[in-house]
Amino acid sequence: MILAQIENGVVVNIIIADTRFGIWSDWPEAGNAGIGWSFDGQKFTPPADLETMVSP
Amino acid sequence: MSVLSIAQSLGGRWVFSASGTFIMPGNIKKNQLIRISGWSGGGGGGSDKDGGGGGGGSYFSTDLLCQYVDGPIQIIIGAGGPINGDGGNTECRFSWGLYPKLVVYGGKRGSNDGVGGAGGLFSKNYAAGALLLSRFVGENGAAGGTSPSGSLISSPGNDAICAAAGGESSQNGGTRGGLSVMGGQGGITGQPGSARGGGGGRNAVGGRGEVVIEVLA
Repeated sequence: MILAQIENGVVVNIIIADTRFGIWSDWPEAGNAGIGWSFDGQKFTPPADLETMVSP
Repeated sequence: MSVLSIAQSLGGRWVFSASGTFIMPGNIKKNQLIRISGWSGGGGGGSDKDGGGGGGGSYFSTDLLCQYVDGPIQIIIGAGGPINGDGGNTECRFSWGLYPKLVVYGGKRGSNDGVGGAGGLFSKNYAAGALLLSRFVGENGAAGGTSPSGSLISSPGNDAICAAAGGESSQNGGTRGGLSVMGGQGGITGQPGSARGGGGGRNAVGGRGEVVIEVLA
């Protein structure tokens, strides 16, 4: 599974783990989110520059 | 938790492709060395037709005298960056002393205006005396290929030796991903970087990180 480390509502790291264990036991699943995305406890939101980049 | 449940053991050699915890086996002698090598995740390539290649993950390797290993070592494996995303950091967190850790930072994403992602950086972040390293080697990841926006120029990823290589930046392929001796290989356009932090080619994801722990003779 791909998990996101959140600090102050922002993704600071994305890791791979095969079990929920240790410090990453309660990290949320990242989906397609990356470092720098914001997280409100429910969903991830890309940073503004990335939203601009992927818009048609 | 047994180390064997979270890492692949190859007779005194453990390969972590996912995060877990290393516990020193009881049959290892105190005067033996263990070598810990790690790679961070590679950056993803930019999604645009002019997107740059992802940067390669960085690398570290260190040797520890077993008598100073005084508890579990927590291994955090950085994921490969998604398209338009940075690679994850890989860490080794030591459970004794002042809780020192070694970190290698993930490769950066390729931009959508053609600039290749920067290679990841390595660091050794430990309190003096808390972790007695008999040897430390690190190498930053190689940058992804850069193609000026709208230029139709193809650019290969940059090469590395121990760290991971960068991904290609190209609208139509035609060059190559960066090459590495020990780290992950950079992807061509549309192709992910390989494991050990290879940078993704344009419009492709980066390779995951990895940690290898070996008992030296």
